[in-house]
Amino acid sequence: MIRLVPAALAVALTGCSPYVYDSEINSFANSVDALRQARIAAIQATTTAALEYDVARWTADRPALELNDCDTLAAASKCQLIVPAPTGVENDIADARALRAADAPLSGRAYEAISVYIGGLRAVTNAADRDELDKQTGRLVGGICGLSANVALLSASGGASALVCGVSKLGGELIALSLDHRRYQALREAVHAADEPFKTLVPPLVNDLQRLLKGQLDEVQGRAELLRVALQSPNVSDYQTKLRSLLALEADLRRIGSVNFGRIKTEMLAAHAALVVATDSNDRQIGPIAQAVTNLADAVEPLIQTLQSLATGAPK
Amino acid sequence: MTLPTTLSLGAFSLGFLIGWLVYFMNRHRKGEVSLADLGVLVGIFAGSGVAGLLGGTPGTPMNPDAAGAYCIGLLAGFLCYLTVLIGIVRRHRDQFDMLYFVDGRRKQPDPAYELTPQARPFATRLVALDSGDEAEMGQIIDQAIADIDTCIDKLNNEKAAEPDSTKRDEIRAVIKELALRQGQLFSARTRLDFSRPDVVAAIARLSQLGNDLTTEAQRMKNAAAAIGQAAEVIGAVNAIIGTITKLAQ
Repeated sequence: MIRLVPAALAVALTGCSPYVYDSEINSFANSVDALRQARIAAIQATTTAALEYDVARWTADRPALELNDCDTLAAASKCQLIVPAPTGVENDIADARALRAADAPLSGRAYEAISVYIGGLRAVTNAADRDELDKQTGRLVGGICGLSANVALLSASGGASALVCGVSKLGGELIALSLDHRRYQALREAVHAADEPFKTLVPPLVNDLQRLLKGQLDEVQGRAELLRVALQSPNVSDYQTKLRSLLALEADLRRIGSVNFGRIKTEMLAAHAALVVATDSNDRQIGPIAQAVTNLADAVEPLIQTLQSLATGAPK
Repeated sequence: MTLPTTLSLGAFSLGFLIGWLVYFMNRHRKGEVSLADLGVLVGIFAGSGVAGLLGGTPGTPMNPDAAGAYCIGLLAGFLCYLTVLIGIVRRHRDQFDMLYFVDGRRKQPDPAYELTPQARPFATRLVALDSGDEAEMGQIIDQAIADIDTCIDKLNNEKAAEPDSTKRDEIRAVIKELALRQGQLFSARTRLDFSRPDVVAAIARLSQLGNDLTTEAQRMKNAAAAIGQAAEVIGAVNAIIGTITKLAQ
């Protein structure tokens, strides 16, 4: 009978393992990470928009362009398009563009910090790591059971072998339980400690994203203005193409205007707050977190779609 | 005792008004007190302007009744202001005590009675730019950005309705200038946001927490790897014992 005790204890322990919210953390991290990606996409899209605006401006102005420092292979990396001083249409947003570029590293550090934090959350709740632990523990327990059986064969003590096997199973469960508790404790402490810094950092981060999109808006508006001016001329060439481009830009502008940054901010804070509340009680409060994380994903989605559309849209 | 004449009544009223205003302005003064202030006050009380007003024709001495009424009015206005102020201070004992009259101090107000930044006049809010109140500076910048947006919208509408192309270009130039200024404000806001001590501390804290979590996760991974190695060793020992057992049989 005593041989069954360790096995029964091992079975009972499996139910005591704390829940480490790995799937919820993953969803939360994905949405927050999407914002970081959105920033990168916004910077890229703004660069593309800036180039397209410049091309549109140069086309409207028809300045004589030339490439500098391209004569030799050694100097080819310094090859640069030289644009003479504008004569007709000015590049009115060049200074604002330079300002934005100078500010980018400031917010970059904040995004990096958020990225490191969610990377840590992901790492500590990684379900694959838990599976690997289970696998290795199972191998160890199997090895011990086999060893004890072999030793029993040699020493003819079958009863002791079953007991050793049961105890090793119990030991395996205890190891897994202790690591799960450690994992849960690390998660709980980190989420609580990060709540205030997270609350402090989210508003400036979202504001920064909003400013980036405003920069894009300026570039797109600049191109739209050039097209509008060109279309007013009675002898404009390829009128239809230009008109279609103007309509497409109009759609871009509407899309940019539809992103609700206030909601993104609110949902980000709510999702993290839900994590804090859930890890406080360890009674698997999955519902509120899942809802908060879904709301966050919904809030971020239009921004991502806008940026994807702007980045992959056909030349306008 | 004679009844006051219109001139005396007028002089009293004028004196009262000036006395009231002298207290008011002295109370709200920002500069240091100096001897020159005395000259200004004498000028107000008995300057040529007042003498001319009360003296009837130029060159003649001041009408004694009117001058007396003026001086009484001055004192009355001054004291009346002081009395009203004492009344207000006594009525709001939760916020002020008599020390208010010594150096203008007041008690810490209940948060519910504090002025919100929005309620303060813009000029007062600009003081925040000097005081280093970052939250308020941020609000001022945000407000300015929003104001420029409104201006640009209006100008865009004007530009669209303007038939004269030269005027349209002029409006366009103004819009571009405003957009540049707005860009500078955006830049200032970014710098303000990310250089705030609490934001800098939050960045450091989140990075540290993330790194700690990653290290902890690595330790747990190492534990799993160590268990795996132990399983391998036991497996090897097991294989040897299994072979020995077979040989023994």
